[in-house]
Order: sequence, then C-alpha cells, then structure tokens
Amino acid sequence: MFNNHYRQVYLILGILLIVSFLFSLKYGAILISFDEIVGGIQKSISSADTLLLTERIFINIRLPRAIACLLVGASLAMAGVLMQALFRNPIVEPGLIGTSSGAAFGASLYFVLGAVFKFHAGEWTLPFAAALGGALATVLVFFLSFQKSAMRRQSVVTLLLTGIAINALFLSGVGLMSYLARDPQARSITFWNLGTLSGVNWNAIIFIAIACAVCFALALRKVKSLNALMLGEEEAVNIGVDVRRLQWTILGINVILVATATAFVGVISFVGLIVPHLLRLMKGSDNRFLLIGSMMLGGILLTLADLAARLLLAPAELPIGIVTSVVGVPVFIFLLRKNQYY
Amino acid sequence: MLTLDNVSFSIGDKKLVDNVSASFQAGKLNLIVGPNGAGKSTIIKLISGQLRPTSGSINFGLENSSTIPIHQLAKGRAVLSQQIDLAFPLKVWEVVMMGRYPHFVTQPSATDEKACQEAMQFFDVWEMAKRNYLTLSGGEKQRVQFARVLAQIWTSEEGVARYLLLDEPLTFLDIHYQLQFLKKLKTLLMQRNLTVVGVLHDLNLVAKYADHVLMLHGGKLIEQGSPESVFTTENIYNVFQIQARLLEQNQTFHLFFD
Repeated sequence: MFNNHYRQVYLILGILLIVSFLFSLKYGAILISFDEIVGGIQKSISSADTLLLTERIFINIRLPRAIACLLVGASLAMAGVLMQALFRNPIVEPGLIGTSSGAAFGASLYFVLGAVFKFHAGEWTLPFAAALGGALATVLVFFLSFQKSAMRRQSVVTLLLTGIAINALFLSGVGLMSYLARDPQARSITFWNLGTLSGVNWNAIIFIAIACAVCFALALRKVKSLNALMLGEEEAVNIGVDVRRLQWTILGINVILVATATAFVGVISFVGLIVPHLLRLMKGSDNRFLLIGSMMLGGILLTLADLAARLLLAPAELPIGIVTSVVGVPVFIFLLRKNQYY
Repeated sequence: MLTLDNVSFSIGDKKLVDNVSASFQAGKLNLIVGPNGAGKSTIIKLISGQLRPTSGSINFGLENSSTIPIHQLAKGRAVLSQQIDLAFPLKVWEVVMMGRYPHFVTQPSATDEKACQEAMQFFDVWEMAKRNYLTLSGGEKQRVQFARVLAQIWTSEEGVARYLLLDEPLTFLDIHYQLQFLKKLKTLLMQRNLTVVGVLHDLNLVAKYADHVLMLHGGKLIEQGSPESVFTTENIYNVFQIQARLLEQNQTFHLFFD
C-alpha cells in the first residue's frame, strides 16, 4: 500500500535519456559515425594529438555540448520543481525571483560596455557578468520583500510580487541596452536572451556539474519539508518544518542553479515550468520523485530541443529558447486545459 | 500536563490574550469557548508554536515551549484545524503519511506505516487510501486530515506525553460527523492518555463532551471549570450578550437561546 513504484518511470526516463544523448552526439551540422565517436574517445584518453578532424569536432564541440544539455536541463527543471513547491503554485518558474532577468541584464551590459571600452575579455567575463547580475537582482528581491513579523516565516506572496516587479525592471534594462547597442552587440544580446549552447566548453561543464550536484544533494534533504508545505505554511510548522529556514535554503539553491546555468548558456524558458507538470501527470506530486525525475526529463527535453535547434536550419542554428518556447507554449496550454487538478 | 503561566500576546497596542493562566490534564477534553475575537484561536496558535507569547510561559510537562525546537515539538504535539486544500494532487495515504514526517528521516519505518493504517481505519478512510485527495468531498477530506493529525501522535516513545490541539476542526462538517468525531476523539484520548485542548463554536457540543471548559472574553479568562459551573445564564449573558435557558436531561444539559 505505502509505495508508489517509481522504478518503472525511472527506467523509462533512463532509456530515453541514453537514446536522446546518443542521438545528440551523432547528429548535427556534420554527421559523426559511432566508429568516430569511439575512436575519438579512445584516442583522447591515450594521447590527444593524433585526432582526425571529425574526432576533434566530437571531443571539443559535440560531446561537451551534449553533456551541457543534460546538466542545464537538469538544473533548470530541478529549480522549477523547487520553486513550484515553495510557492505552492504550479505556474511558477525558476526565473520568477529575478535571477534570470538579472543575468540577462548583466550579460547585455557586458556586451554594450565591452564594445564601448573595447576591452578584450577572457572566456570567464561573460558568465561572470551574467551570474553577478542574476545574484544582484535576486538579492534585491529578497531585500525588498523581507518583512519583520511575529510569524516565523516569510510571505511568499510578497516575494512573488516583488519578483515580478524586479523582473520588469531588469528586462527594461535589457531593452535599454539593446537600444543603445550597435548592430553586432545587439545581435549578441538577442541571441543570448534566447539561449544557446554553442559556446559551451569543458571548463563550463565542470562548473555547471558541480553546482548541479551540490544543489541536488541539498534539495534531496528537503523533499519531506517541501511535501509538508503542500498543506500550507501553518500546517507545515505543525508537523515540524522550520518554514523560514526552508524558504531561505530553497531560494538559495534556486539562485545557484539558475545563475550558473544562465551564465553559460543564456536564458532558456519553459523547461523549468513544463517538466514538473509532465512528471505530475505521469505519477503524482511527491517531491522526491519530482526532483529525481525532473533531472532526467529536463536533460532529455533540452537535449531534444538542442538537436532541433541544430538541425532545423543546418548548418545555421536557431537559438534554443525559441525551440523550447515554440514547443513549450502549446504543451503548457494543453496541460492547463486538460487538467482539472488545480 | 500542559500549563499556561500568565500568558499574554499583543500586536502593537492591542492585547489579544491578556494574562491567561490555566492547566490542562491528560486524558481530558479541554475546550475553550468565547465570542469572535475573544482570543481562542490565538491561544491555540501560541500553544502550537505558530506565535510566541509576548510575556508569560507555556509548558509542556516541565519544559518551556520556547526552548523546544519545532521538529522536536512535532513528535508529541499535533494540531487539527479547519479544512485544508492541497496545492497539488496527492494520494490519500501520502497525505496521511505526512503526519509521520517528524518520526522518520527518509523512508517511513514499519511503525510509521502501521500508525497510518490504524489511524486511517479508525477514521474510516482506509478504503480510499489510493484515491486522489483533491477529488474527495469536504467531509472525506476532513476525515483524512483527522487521520493525518492523529497518525502524528498515534505512537510515541515510552513515557513521552502527547498533545492534541483543535482549532475549530468541525466547522464545515455536518452534525453526524461532528458527533462521530467527538465520540471517537473521547475514546482515543482516554485510550492513549492524550492532552487535548481545543476551540469549538457550538456551545451544546461543548456542554455535552467537554471535561473542562475555559470561557474567554476580550482576551481575558472569565471562568474555568466543569461545563455545569461555566455555563451559567449569567456567564453566557456577560460574554455573548444573549439570554440562555438551561435544561438538564439524561446527565447532560442543553442550552436554549431566546
């Protein structure tokens, strides 16, 4: 009785994950055969200088990109689960508390100022500017929504509304930067705001992987408390949850996940919103299942979206945010209309 | 035993609870009555730890409640409130299992599962264990909540006292379920030696089932004692501004209002 048999779902998601990962290794601007994939891996383990051209493309471009899809998808979907649980609201997405719009502003500012002052920046400057912007916007939201009260918790409604206001502010900042920018910079800003995984290298992957793993470990310890929150904040206190501490922990995890992912690949919408919904339809709302499942399904969806972004206009590329939105919006509307559970 | 020592609570200049002292015995049904705004729910929230008293102290046994961490408190203290709706769909047993959250870290033990099963059987919701909570009727939802809250204090370590707080849990139930719940509660609290403190609106239900009654007015304790000693026409007039007649029948008494 007291079991939900999640194993089947994990198994299906696991198979899908492997299949979509292999597809994304093979297909792209050029087709890479599985022999070349195996050869590339074997050679780069022994010594790297004898690689053929396709093998080099595989090791330096295709493989990091495919792994980045998994990690970024997992991070964004996990953040979506956490935020929906925290706000007890199914239409919340991870960017809500200002992190991604702040990051977008930081990146835009970098593009414009970089062009004006002509400083030649290293590979870390853009991610740093974006992460800084994201952190700044989030801290602003926290600071403005903080209230001293007799209750042992933060009002999530205030947090939500403050988030909407600060989001609007930073998005208008992005608009101003696009207006000021000359043509190549304006294109960079647009492209970055729609997300792209084309610039990802191994250094970025290590960074995202660490953030993702640490946040997953932290979040896994909070699944019971997040479940309890479904009953309402007051009831959660009654079953022993320190709600204020939980709020700060979850918001902190969310900032790390979103800021890290966004800093390297730009703003990718809808993954964090849709994935938790799909999982709830499959099996239910237990947050342990949602958390583990969302890491897998988020990775799958982003991998497929990136594959589509690479193939649809090959050899040119679509920004991935366009793909996720074009697919995500109809799915979301469908879910809203079909589902009576709210 | 649960005791309140000179407990006051104010927001700004307004005193919601004014210097209330009382003690509540285990195995007894202690109920608080009073008009709207008398401070009944505030007292429940002070005892449950949702609010901290401005002055005075609340003691669970010999321990001052402000020194007990919330997760520790939850192992022996449960709160039953008005109807609860969930933000997301969950199965009935998943809701009831939340009552056992204070007792396990990641996976429920056999004891936790047994407590859930027994509590669900006790409140007649075992048959709907696998149903979606959001599809239940109001009365069914509230019975599931009864099972969840009682599962929380169904078992405890030897010699550890258990407390149950009621914050108008019967508000949306019909008279059949109100009576059934109070009967079951009486059985449970005697079997398991629970200390129960609660707020109910219906004075006749209080008169019929309470062992000890506290009457509040404007945050102050007006009278406490047995229902017979508290429910006098004079007290009821002073507190509710209505004329009541008392009629004794079959060892219980009824209130009629003119």
